[in-house]
Amino acid sequence: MKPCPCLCAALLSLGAPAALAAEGPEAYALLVGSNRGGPGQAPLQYADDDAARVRDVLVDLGSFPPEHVRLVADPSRRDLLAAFDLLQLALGQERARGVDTEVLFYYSGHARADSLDLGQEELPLSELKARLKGFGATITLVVLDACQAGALSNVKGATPAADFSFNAMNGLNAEGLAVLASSSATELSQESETLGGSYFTHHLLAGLRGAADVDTDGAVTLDEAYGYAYSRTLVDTASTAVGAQHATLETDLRGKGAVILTRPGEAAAQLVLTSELAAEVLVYRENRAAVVAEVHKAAGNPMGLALTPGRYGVLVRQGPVVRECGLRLAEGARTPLDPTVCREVRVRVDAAKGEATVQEADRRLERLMIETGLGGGTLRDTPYTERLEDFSFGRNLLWGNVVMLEGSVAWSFRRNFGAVLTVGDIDSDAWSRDMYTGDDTTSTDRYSWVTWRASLQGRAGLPLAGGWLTPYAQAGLGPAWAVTDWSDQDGGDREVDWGWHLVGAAGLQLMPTVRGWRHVGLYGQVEQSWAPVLVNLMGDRHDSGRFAVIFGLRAGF
Amino acid sequence: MTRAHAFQLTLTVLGITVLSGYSSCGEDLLADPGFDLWCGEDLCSWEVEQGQVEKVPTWDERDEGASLVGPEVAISQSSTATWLDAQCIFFTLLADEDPGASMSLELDFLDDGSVEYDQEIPAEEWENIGFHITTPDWYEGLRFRIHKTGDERAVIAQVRAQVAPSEDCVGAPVVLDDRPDGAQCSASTQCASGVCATLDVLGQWEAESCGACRLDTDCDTGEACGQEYGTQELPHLACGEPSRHALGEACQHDGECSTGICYEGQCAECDGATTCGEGAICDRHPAVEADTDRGLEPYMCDPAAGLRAAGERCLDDADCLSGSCDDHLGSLRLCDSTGRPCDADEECTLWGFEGTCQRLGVYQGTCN
Repeated sequence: MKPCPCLCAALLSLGAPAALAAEGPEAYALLVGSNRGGPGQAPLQYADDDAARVRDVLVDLGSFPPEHVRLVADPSRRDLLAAFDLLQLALGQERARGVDTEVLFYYSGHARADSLDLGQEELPLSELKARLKGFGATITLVVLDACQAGALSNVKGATPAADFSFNAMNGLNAEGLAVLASSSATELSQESETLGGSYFTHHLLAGLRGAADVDTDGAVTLDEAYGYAYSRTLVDTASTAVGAQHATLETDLRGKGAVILTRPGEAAAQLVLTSELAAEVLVYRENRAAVVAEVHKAAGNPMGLALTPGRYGVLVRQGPVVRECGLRLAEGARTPLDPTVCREVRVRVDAAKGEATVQEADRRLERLMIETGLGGGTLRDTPYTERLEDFSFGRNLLWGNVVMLEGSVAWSFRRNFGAVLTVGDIDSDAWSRDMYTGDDTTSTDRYSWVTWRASLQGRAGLPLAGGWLTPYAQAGLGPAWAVTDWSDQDGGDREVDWGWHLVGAAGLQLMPTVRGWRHVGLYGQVEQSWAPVLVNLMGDRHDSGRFAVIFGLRAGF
Repeated sequence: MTRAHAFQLTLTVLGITVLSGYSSCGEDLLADPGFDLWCGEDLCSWEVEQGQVEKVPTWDERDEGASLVGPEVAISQSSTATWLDAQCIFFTLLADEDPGASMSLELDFLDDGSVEYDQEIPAEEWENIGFHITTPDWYEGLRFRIHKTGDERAVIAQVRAQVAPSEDCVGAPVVLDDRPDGAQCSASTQCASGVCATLDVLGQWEAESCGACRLDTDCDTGEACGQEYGTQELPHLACGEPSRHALGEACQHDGECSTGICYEGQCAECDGATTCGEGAICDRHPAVEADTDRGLEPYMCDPAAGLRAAGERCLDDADCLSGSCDDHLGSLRLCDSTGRPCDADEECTLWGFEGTCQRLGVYQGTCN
């Protein structure tokens, strides 16, 4: 007696591979990923990757014998038909031996309402249907991740599945055809740069790993997988520019009982999200090589994700707080996730999607920065200072002439861009002259100034090395004012001259991201300003701007 | 080296020092060069000789200059500088004058109203003008004058006259004639008197100064030409009563000495052994006070050999048999630097060298 005619062996058996695949029907899979676009179609980015991920799940987790899984990337019409022929031949041989067969056909690529687009060629859906039916497999599951994929479901006798319906079929022995499509007959299917693949396939695989096991019985049925993939795809695509994407499930199955696709409860390794956890969870392979699953975990029921043993990273987002964990899944172990031991990271706002998503933790965004800097600049000779020399003034070289102070408030409104408000002195100078007043006495005339500025600058930075180093450049303008002080034997006087200035700078920020040292960093920058504020009665103007090198501290919030 | 030679060497060194510039280079000779000192609406340190001056801003409201208002304006300032203070002057002017105005610098080296130096100083758009002036070899009472003509605007921000190193002045010195008696000279045309004579001072050194005569024959009948001391540091030759100088005083000719003999720059009793009695030797009489390396020792016959009888000349009580040298005319005190009569050391400064007023002995003394 065959066990439940689950497609776990045929499709995505994520449990002990030998236990599930050794008995029952022989499972074959033909996986097609086609990035090529036809006339008027832009090439896709991740169709081949999606197909490869499906293969990885089928093969790595032991659901399908590796030799029964064939991946075809960017096939021509002839290549695809040849693959169909080979598969049909293999299935025929199995039937000749009296073995039941289960087939999974997966396609990710371009499609129209009436055909699959294979670059400049196409495969009409009617032909595809005929070939699929011609396999003669016990169960054929078709997964289409393409635009208007639901059009294939217009098969004779096929019944559309209601949304979120479970146990669509009665009976324990299901046979026939099921078509799981990424979108309706009139909708487009979308890829995600963030996920590195299509929304539908990503969520389908996550669901099959265990995220879709809503009744927590350790098995994921076709209906559960569809329901999960439908809702997660709809949520993710609802706010995109393309618009909402509704996955469809059409079945022509005979027999009783739910069609079990996977048994994550029997997986070699499992990550357990506890019942009290309510968070967005992103699971990726070590070193962020690939995103394995992204799930929305609601409080109430535990969720187990079937994974191959190994090292993983997990990002857990609960409201504005994001934490990152690294963990190892051991063979045969169920590893619970404890977010409280994870380190807190920063959330990156994905402006394109309009919502905060959990990104790689090393790309941080300090929203608000308080900065203070100290530096030195060059002294400049201008017509204004030359006039002072004509009037017998000599420059007093003081530390204040060279040292500059500044304080800033920076606001980052996008990942790499922000605005900076800076107040500081950009120029100071002191001059004096001794005048003989007779009777062996002299008096000293003194003249000095400090030029201040308040500038609003735009800043662009490029975080590197996990946010540790950020080279940046900024430029802006604003008011400047020079406070001049005069003193002679008659007393002193102070005046303020107003003007404006331009400033530009380039620098490097060092902001470590180690535990306990997260919000304070250093920066060094070179700066050039232009501030023609001072002008004398003879029309000589002094540019208070100069070249300066500044070092300082930054504190981020 | 004799005492006299040492003195000559010292004076030579002093002379070199003097000729190099007594005052510090860069020293200002004009007070308030920046026109900062105003007494109300008038300049405190400058005299407005002609026209009107107004306080106006220059490069800044707070740094004021002087605007010379009117078609004819002259401002001046007298400096205490003499030929000993500055042999080379660096003059600078920072001013702005419109094309219709003209300014010039005038220097009156005797401050006697006569201008010995007149230089136009064009200054447009706050041009900084500077040049060197080689002063006369002798002057005193220097007055600087800025003279403006023309109706157009002329504003001065700074006028500076600073002592400069002598080697910076390569031009010919300013010609200064009409020098008073006692002024240093090198030609008679420089003297108001028309006489530039060489003086023998204490037999130690020679000076050329303006005076009234060179010889007795240059004077009126009954007058003798001899060394006199006026307001100047240097002595000069002047006509006066014969025999007016006592034994030991500096002299030029015999006729001015009461002894009738002028020897080695001092009125003497003898001019060598030939004028003393048989057996007497003509030699220097030691001055009454010590430290007489300046040579204040007039020649007398055997000043230490024997005592003198009543009525004979004496400088000191020790010269007389009676032990008393009549001093009813007082003591003869002379500057060891010039041999001129004095009452205090301050009167004995010559070219910055501080001499000493020393008591030579009894004035016109005779033994009691």
